[in-house]
Order: sequence, then structure tokens, then C-alpha cells
Amino acid sequence: MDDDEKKDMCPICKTDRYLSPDMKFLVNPECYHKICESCVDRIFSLGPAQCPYKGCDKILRKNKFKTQVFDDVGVEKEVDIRKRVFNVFNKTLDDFDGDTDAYNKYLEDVEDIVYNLDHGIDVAKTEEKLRTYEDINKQLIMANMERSKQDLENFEQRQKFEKEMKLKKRILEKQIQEEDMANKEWAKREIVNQLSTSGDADEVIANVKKTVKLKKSSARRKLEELNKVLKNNPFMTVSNGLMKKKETVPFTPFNGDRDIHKRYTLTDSGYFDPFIKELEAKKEYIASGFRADYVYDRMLTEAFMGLGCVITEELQTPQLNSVN
Amino acid sequence: MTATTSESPKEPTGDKEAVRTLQRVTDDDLYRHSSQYRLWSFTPEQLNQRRIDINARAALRTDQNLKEFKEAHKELTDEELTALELKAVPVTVEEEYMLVNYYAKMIISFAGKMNLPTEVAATAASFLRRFYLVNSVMDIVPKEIFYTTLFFACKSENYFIGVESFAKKTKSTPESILKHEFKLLESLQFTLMNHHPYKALHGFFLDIQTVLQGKVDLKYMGQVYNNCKKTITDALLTDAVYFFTPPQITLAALLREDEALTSKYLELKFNIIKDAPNEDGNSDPIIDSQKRLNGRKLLEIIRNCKEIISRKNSTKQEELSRIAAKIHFSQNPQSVIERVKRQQQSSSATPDPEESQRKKQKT
Amino acid sequence: MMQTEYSKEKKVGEGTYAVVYVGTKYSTNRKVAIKEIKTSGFKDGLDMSAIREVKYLQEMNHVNVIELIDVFMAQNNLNLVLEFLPADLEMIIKDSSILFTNADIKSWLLMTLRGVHHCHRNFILHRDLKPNNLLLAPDGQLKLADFGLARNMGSPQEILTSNVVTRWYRAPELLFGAKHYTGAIDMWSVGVIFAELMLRIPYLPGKDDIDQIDVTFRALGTPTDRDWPEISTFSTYNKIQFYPPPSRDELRRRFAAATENALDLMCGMLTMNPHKRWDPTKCLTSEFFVELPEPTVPEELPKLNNK
Repeated sequence: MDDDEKKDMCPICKTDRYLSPDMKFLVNPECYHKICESCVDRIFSLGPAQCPYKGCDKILRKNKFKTQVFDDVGVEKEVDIRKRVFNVFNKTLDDFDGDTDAYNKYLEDVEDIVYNLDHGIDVAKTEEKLRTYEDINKQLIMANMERSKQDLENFEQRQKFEKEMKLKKRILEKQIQEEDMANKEWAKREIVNQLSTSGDADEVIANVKKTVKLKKSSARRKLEELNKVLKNNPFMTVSNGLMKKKETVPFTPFNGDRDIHKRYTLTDSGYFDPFIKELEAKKEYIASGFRADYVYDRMLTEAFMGLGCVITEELQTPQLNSVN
Repeated sequence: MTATTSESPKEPTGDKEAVRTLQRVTDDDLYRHSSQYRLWSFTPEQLNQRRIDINARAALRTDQNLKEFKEAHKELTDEELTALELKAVPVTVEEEYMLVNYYAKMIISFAGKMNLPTEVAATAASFLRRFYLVNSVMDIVPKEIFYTTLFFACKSENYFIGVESFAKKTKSTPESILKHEFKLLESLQFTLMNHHPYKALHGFFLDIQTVLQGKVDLKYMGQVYNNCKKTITDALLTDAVYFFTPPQITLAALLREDEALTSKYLELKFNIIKDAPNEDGNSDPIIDSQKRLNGRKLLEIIRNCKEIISRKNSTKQEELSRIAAKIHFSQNPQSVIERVKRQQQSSSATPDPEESQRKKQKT
Repeated sequence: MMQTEYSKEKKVGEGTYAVVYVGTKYSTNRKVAIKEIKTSGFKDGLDMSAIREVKYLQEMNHVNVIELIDVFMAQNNLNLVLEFLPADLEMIIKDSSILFTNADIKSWLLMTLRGVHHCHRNFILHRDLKPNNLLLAPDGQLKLADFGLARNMGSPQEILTSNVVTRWYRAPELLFGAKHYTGAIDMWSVGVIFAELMLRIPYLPGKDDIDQIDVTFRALGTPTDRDWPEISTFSTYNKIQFYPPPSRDELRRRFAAATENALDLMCGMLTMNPHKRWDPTKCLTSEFFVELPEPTVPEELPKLNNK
């Protein structure tokens, strides 16, 4: 059996890709032995089991199987190790406050770990190192993960934004072109029309041209604005570091200044309030935008506004505005 | 190693402590920002001291004026001097208080006669009373500031009436109404907003329905509401307005109107455990952000307030005339002398009613 | 005695009822604006605008509302000492040498809405929101100013005058003479200001009160009884021209730089029916403020070029 043939055949059930084109191969990062999907289903559905390869004593779980991306199992393994290590050692240059030397030292350490794991050197000790680091730096790791997620999102949004803008620009340009054509046509007709009633050709032409000029402006103005926006691309500011400093304070619509723990809840079922009910039914009230729920909300707010102020205690310190 | 779930404190984790200055403003804090709380709320001691100070200052000035008057009039007879000693004396703190309260009451009934909205009337009374927490009745007599206050309250409450028609309605003159307008504004320390308890009452009327759903007759609630409105108007004439907030005054009025209903509402609303073993009620849920208050304490505050708004302070007409005359004589010593002279001439004692008659014509 | 605490250095403006000076508070060297309210020649005594301004500013305490530092009497004149705010949004919009981005617009709108939210939660209607009443502090903060038309949200049965708000920013219910309106009228003004920030020209510039109705409905469609119950009870309603509402695409074309969320927010504030118009809370929690770009930090907002 030569290598090519081996590549397309499951070593367990001997099914050939040639005969079952839908066949997919999976590997498990424990040993990276290639097994076809239906074998995985069959062997591991009931729980962890030993790898069916002869001489391999690894216990494999079904949920750890994945599609092999790289033809070379060695590469596949290294990539997986890197992914795992970098998920934990996820500092960026920023975390070193720009100290390049320290950052490089850190990268080297990480490379050592990857190398050791990949080549089976000091595996137990290295794994321990990885775990220890993970435990100690849990917070930072989470934060950095969040950050890279955000970066990705920003990137995607930016791409979307730029695409939208470009589309709008194309539409506007087309619109301007069309308008220009229409204006030219209109000017021609208008000049002919006006010349038939008025004598001074130069004046007529000048006037019509002026009108055309005024007409043109709307789409053009929009294009100018669009260009301006593109030039001041808001996403640029995000990437060029202007906004970096404030990312620790999350945006809150009210600047944190809103009482969300009211002492009452407005009922939906309505209140017995003949006075308000009467107003609510009046046409001129309805048309004005009068809202009974606004009234109720206000009255209830005033009912509890200051209920918790204990004046006799809070004002124990002498007031500033004593009689002068 | 795996057991350490929380972050190790020494490790430079790099997440710069997100210094967030979240100043969440509660509705109580909004009230603390109001001028009514900042400038016009007092402890009983503060209020008392304030009244004493104002009275003392004006009394001192009155005494000084009197001394100067005596020095300027060396020709005064013994009889006249005795009359001065007796009649031209400053009014006391209590007398000031009685007089101001009388006029505050008057302004509300007068506003009623003019068909002004309840809130305008309440504001006018509040303005008048605040004015005399800065000035003494010996500086400006209430009569002189009465219409100014009402006119100004109308403007402040968006119920504008032109000064001409206002003067016509009140049988006064535009000049006399406007004369002290600035003085009034300045005395109010340029703060015009009043939080009256009427809206709070409306609010509790609604909330009681929710809390005591099915347990209270709605028609009866309407009756309670109307009666409490009157109680609140009376309460506005007491010192409760300086010691308590509008919701507290409202609850006191409700408590006065129907103790059982209001207690039940408060118990359910704030989870007050009745007859709980621990007397101080420390286990009751806290109901304000500053942790000063739980339901039991709130109940105590409301009871205190109820006590104050229930005090009757009706002053007799004769008493008021006497105070008014006292102010008049102390501020115008010359009138005492004239009175003595006239008495000597007619040799028959002039009774007080005629006295006040003459004063009316003069002012 | 009080007047000696401040210097009046330069007259910077004069209105019908007030003269404004730039000055300094001696004790702190803080620059202030002093609004001297004319008091003579008003037969009804102290002017209503002055009373309102004093009354409401005394109760406010918010970064996005102008600060009333002090009030004093001098030579029988009423003086309001306000924080000194050298620019307003109208000046920025009109100055064609200033470029601003969507992030800047978002920041100004955010600060405006926070200010309005604060007014409304104190039950105060501003009733004259427009770009030149939105003042800008040297640190970029935007502040609501001019409370001369402000009032308490009244008791429900009170009749309010519909003759408020500068014409171009006047909500449709005011154009029809509504007498029981709500905070929704302020929200309409903010919506028009938002549109103006994006277009950099006034969005609904009516020539007179009649034209204002026409301009408003031509841009945004004439409302009907279906989307605005009882609108036909307004006496002027039957005399007006009917225009169809603009399609989403037309709005997209008009506001080329606006995102979908920006358009949603603007349309929310420019909803004809005041019942359904967005309130400050709904606006502030809209997607527009969460999506990128983030609002510009106030310190970095465009400023007037020094002349």
C-alpha cells in the first residue's frame, strides 16, 4: 500500500474515499491518529475508549476529535499546541508598557514551552508551568481575551463601515452623473425656450447656467460630506491610539447617574383615578400627547422623593446660611 | 494549585483599577439638591435659634431708636416717659410667630377667595413664612408684604396676573404691591421652587391602591384623599414644613386621617414586622441608600410629624390687635406721645378698637 | 456688598430684558458671565423670564446644565452670575472651517440628551431647545442654557401656552396649538438639532408659523388620525396640505452619513405623534450610542478657531 492510497483510506474500517466521497477524517490531539468519522461515531459514542491504533494506549474522548487542517500531522500538532499556549500566554506589548526587552524575553519563554510540549521534553513539568501561570493570571488572561475579541469586532465593523461608505459614494457619484446629464439637457431646452421670448442671448445663457449651478449642489454636497467622513474615518481614531486610554471606563448612557431602584412600580392594570381618567378621554388631551402614565409616574415619584431624607439627623451640622 | 480560584493579589495583573466615579443619584438625592432642602430645612434647634436671632436684632434696633428718640426729646414729661416704657417695647419671638402664622393663614383663605389654584396659595404662604425667617415683623409688617407675596407667588407658579388687575382685585395699588418685590426675592435667597405635598398625596393615593389591592374601598380612598388635601394645607402653616420632607408630611396627614389604613400600607410597603422581638428594629429592611432609615424608624418620623401638624394654634383676634399695636408703638414712639396728649385732652380713655381704627387710616 | 465680589469687564450681549457681561470672581479668579436683568420699565415688576431662569437654575445641578453660581442685587438690578461659556453649538455648525465627524455629533447629542433627561426627571420642561441655547464649555462639555421659557410640568388640568420654542424647533403639536403637551416637545427639538448637526444646515427652516407647518410635513409627511389619534380635532388641521411620509430610502439619501441606528434615533425623536415620540431614557439607551464610533471625549471635540 503506498502513501497516496493510505491517505484516502481509513486504517480502521478500510473504507476508501474513492468509494465514499463524503468520508471525513478526524484526529484527536491526544495522539493525532487519523480515524474516519463513522469509526469515531461507532467507537467513542458510548464514552471514552482506547485509540484503535495498534500500540497506542491513549484514552480518547469523542468531543475532542476535530477535522485535520494540515496534511502533516506534525504541523497540525504544533498549531494546536500553539493555540493552547497562546490562549493562556496572551499578553501583548501593551501589557509591558512598551518595554520591548521584557516582551521579547516573555516571547522566548513562551516559545520554549511550545517547543517542549511539541517535542515531548519535560512534558509534566511544562504542563505544570502552564497551569500555574494560568491560575495566577486568570484575570489578565480573561481581559486580554476580551480585548482581542473586541479588536476583531472592531475590525469587522470597520470593514463593514468602509464597504457601506464606498457603496454610498458610488451611488452618489452615479447620481451626480445622471443629474449632470439631466441638467445639461434641461439647460439646452431652457435656453431655446427663453430665446424664443427674450432677445438678449448672453443674458439668457448666463441665467440658465447660474440656475444649473445652484441645482447641482445637493448631491455634490452630500458627496463632499461623505468624503469628509471617510477622511475622518471614525475607526481610524480607534486604531491610531487616540482612544486607547479610556477603554477601562465603559460607556454608560447616563454617566451612571440614574436611579433604577424606584420605591414603586407603575402598574399596567391602571388606577382608580376618576380625575385623570376624565382628562385622558378628552379629545384635546389625546391630541396634545397627554399621557396618564406620565402623570402617574410623576405623582408616584414625588410621593417618594425625599422620603428617606431624615432632616433632623442630616442637618445636625450647622448650616451655612445662618442669619447674617 | 488548582484550588486558587481568585486572583493572587501581588501579581501585576495589569488591569488598571477601573476608577469609576459612578455617582448614582437617587430620588432622595434629587431632593437633597433642591433649594427647599438646602436652604429651607432646619432642625428644631436651628429654626428656634434663627427666630431668636432675628427677633433680637430687630429688638436691639428698636431699643436703640427709642433711646435716641428720648434723647432727642428732652422735653418729655414723666407721664409720657412711663407710657413709652409701657407701650413702645419690642415684640417677642412668640408674638412674631403668632402674627406671621395669622397672615400665612390669611393669605391662603384670601387666595381661595380669588379662586387661585391650591399650589399658588401654598406657595404664597410658604413665601410669607420664609420671608420672616430672614426679616422680623418689626422690619416690615406682614400687612405691607401681604399682596406682594401673593402677586409674586402667582408669577412664580406660572399663574400670571397683570399688576393692574391684581391691584383692582385686591383693592390695593400697583406701587404698593411692587414696592417690596425685590426685597421679597432677596429675602427668599433667590430660591422660588416649592415642593408641596399635594402631588405626593396623589402619588400615595395611587400606590396605596397597588399595595392594598382588593383590601380597600376605592370610593372611600377618594374621600380620604379629599380630607387629606385639607389637612396638608393646614400642615403647611406649621413648622413641620421645615423639619420634614413632603412625602413624610403626606404620610403624617394620611396617618391622621386613617391610622389603620396607613399603618397597614406602611407595614406592607416597607416590610415592617409588627411586634418583632428586637425593639430597635435593626433587622427591618433598609429603605434608603444612605442606610439611615428602615420602616420602623420611618414610622417614628411620621408619628412625630403627625404630632406637629395636629397642634392647634389659633390665635385670638384681640391678641393679634394687641401685637399689631405693640409693633406700631415700638416703631413709632411719637405716636405714643400723641396718644398720651390726646388722652389728656379728652381725659377719657381711648379704647383699643378706636386705636386700631386710626392706625388703619394711617397706613 | 455682594457686587464687589465680581468684576464686570466687557459687555458681550444685550437682549430685551438683560445685558450680559464677562467678568471675574475675585476670590477664585474664575471667569464668569453676569446677566444683569433690567428692572426698570416693566410695569408688572420683575420679568417672568428672569423669575423662571432664577427659579429653575437654582434647582439644577448637572454637568450638562449651565451652573448658576450666584445671584445678587446691585443698584436695584438683579444679577445672575453664570458659568462663562464662550461658544454655542450654532456657532460651530455655521463655521464652515470646522470639520466634525459622526463621533463628534454623537458626543454633542449625548450631552444634550443627558441634560434634557436631568430637566425632565426634575419635572422641568425647557421649552426653548435650539443650537444657540446649547453652550460649550472650554473643556468641551455641552450645557443647556436659557431657562427663560422653562416651566414645571404642570398639574394635569393646567393649560399650557403653545407659543413656546423657537419656530424651527417647534414640535407639531405646538404648531397646532396644543395646550396639554408633555416633555415630548423638548424631544422634538433635540431631534431637529440632531438632523441639523448631520446636515449642517437648519433642517426645518419655516419662514413663518404657517410655513413652518408646511415645511415640517413636507419633510416628514403629514400625520393622520390613524398614526396620531384625534389630530383632526385641532382646528388648523383641516387646512393643511397632505404630504406622504418619506421612505426609509429617501431619508438615507438625505442623511448620507447616518447609520441605520442614527436614523432610528432621529426618527424616534421626530415621531409626529407625541404619545409615541421617544423619551430621553429611550434615546439614551438606543443602539446608536453603543455602536461605533464611540462618542468623542468632550476635551477632544472641535472648538471655535480663535479669531
